[in-house]
Amino acid sequence: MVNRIWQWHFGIGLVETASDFGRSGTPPTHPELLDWLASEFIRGGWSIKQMHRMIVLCRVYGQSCDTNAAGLATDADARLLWRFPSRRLEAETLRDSMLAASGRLVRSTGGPGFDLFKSRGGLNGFPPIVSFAGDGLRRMIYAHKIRMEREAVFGAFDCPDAGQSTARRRQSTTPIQALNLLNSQFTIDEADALAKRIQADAGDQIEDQIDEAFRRTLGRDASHDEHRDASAFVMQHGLAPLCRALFNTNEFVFLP
Amino acid sequence: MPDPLTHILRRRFLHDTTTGIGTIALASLLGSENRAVASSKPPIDPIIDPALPYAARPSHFPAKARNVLVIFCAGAVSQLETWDYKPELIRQDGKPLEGGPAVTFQGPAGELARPQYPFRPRGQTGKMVSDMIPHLAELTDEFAFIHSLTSKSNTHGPAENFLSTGFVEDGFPSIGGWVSYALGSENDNLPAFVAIPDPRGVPQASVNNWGSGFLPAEFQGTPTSSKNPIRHLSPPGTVSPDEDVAVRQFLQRLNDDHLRKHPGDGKLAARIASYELAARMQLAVPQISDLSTETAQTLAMYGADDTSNPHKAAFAKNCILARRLIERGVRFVQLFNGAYASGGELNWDGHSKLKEQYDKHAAILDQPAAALIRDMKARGLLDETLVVWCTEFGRMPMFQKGAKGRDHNPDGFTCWLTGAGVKRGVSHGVTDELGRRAVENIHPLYDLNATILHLLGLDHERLTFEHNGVQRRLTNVEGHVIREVCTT
Repeated sequence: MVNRIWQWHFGIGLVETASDFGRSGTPPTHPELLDWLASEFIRGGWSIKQMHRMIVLCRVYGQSCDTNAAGLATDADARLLWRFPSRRLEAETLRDSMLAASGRLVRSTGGPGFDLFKSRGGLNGFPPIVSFAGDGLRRMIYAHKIRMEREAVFGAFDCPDAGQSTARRRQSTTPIQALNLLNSQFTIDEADALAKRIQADAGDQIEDQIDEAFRRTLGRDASHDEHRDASAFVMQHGLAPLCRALFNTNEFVFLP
Repeated sequence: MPDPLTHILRRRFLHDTTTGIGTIALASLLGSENRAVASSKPPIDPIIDPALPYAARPSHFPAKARNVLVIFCAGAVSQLETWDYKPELIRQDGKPLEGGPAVTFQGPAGELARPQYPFRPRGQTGKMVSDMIPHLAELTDEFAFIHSLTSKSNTHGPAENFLSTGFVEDGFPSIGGWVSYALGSENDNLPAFVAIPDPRGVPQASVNNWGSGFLPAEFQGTPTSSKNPIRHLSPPGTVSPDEDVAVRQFLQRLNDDHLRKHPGDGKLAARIASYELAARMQLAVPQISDLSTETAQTLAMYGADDTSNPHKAAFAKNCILARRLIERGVRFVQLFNGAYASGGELNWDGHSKLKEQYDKHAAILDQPAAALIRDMKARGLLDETLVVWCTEFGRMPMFQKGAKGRDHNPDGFTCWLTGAGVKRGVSHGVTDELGRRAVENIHPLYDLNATILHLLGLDHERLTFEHNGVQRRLTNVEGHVIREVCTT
């Protein structure tokens, strides 16, 4: 259990094969830590919340993801946690994050799931819904899951097909992901929505709009150079294309 | 049916370990896992550069074939109406099958029914092939037939899974996924694995046939066809080309800056590279899909100009697309003929009015597929390309009760190979005299998949991927290369 909780925070558990300990799995990278966490978990009355708190308050969780040559040479994947391992957002988180940035995320909880496809059954494939509104803007965890059919835009981001249990999602990088995130109507819609929201909130000054766009997507102000380039870009092409670019940046798509 | 001992549920297993059956199940579980984990040979893991996932990678041993074209006829083509000539069935037409099943997959069995098309000898080999597919029949001398294949399922979805992934369950990587994982591609601008669904719709097991299962998502097949091009290949029409270029340049600049702040992070570099590959795909794919560069003669040879039969014309265009992908070095192309279960209307599932429906389906398949093979041969592509014609299972020698069609039969059916590394004009394996089941050189579909990998220079026992504690293989713990159909 503690290994699974750890995996959710770091992208990979102390035992990489979360559903297989022992002979069929891989050995833990930090066996003493794993044992200690397990005993603390029991001592804390099996409280998942306390375990989350302990992990996110520890120093290893608070590390930056900065690299150094020595670390890269001996442990490029950061399995030994010499830095915070960089992680790509999962499919659902990515979609939710775009909606959160654009201000369109519907935060209602519970109830029946929303549809990603025009049909829930039938036989001739599942035509995807292209533009979403209403419940379709809820967190993706509320999407009705069609077994074996991946969502048309975000499914390519290693969303399991739900045919077999998946103890840990792999993180692959594919040109189809790039095409989906660049060219889907979803991205265009959310970039437009974000641009409108920024214009409403930040006023008419391009400088202010750029800062707002960077803050809403990357959580920081634009640097001096970025300001200069982004201003020229926005003056020529408008704010929505800037938002489309920002949604596609590594900085948006990767944690931390 | 899956072996009940090896497909035991975890909860049931925990319960049963307190009783006698548990120890037997445990032995079976451990046995199968041991075999899977400690296959007699050590795995050979492909070395994959995350920035270049489709780069060509070496095979395990010298390969006979560099790429593969699979012509997948969904719905279960009757072996008895095509390639497996059964004169005894003509003689016993209308009689009951002695000792045969009273009920088959869909319902009560009727009487034996003669092949619904005349057969005649073809080519140098004189092999008897049906008039249903006159164009393909002319190529009989080119093919290596395997008449004795068996499937583990008699239901379309699981059986398509079994053919494409080696497992009847959902969630396992398809053969094209395994091959692109192992070998990458010869073309930097295209995905390693492309699936071309039939113009009438996707097959019953749909994306499972080209999925990556638990393999990294890079290795899933990219679906495209003459009718439905790759999704999201270009932005919606509201985005001007100038703006699109500017967005990508600005994105590149932001990503480069970001990478400079995190030097050496391979994941970031890989993602930048994936945008570069996507941009190259955006240029390369429309060129391939644009059939206007084909001559009128070629279009006519494939039947792509047949305005009287739009399905045939669309399938013919898919065939041309398949050839063009192979020409450009795409490693694995899966070309579907036939869609989902539809009472035999849209695929080869001839339960009730087989002859009537097969007349329609054959008209779509025959000329385009034959032209594809001829064209590939003429262009020298068969020297390096393995072509596999396959279907998920066969059909019964009896008609169904009260119907003029045949029910599902996974116990003996035919596929053929041609092209690189394949013997020409041979027939391997035999079904009984009525075509009910394979009786000689019986080959579960594992063996077909093992053979395809073998011709690509891959040892099916050493191409593995660890998932949930098991070194998984395309062929599970089975599979024997059918050497009788391979050139030495």
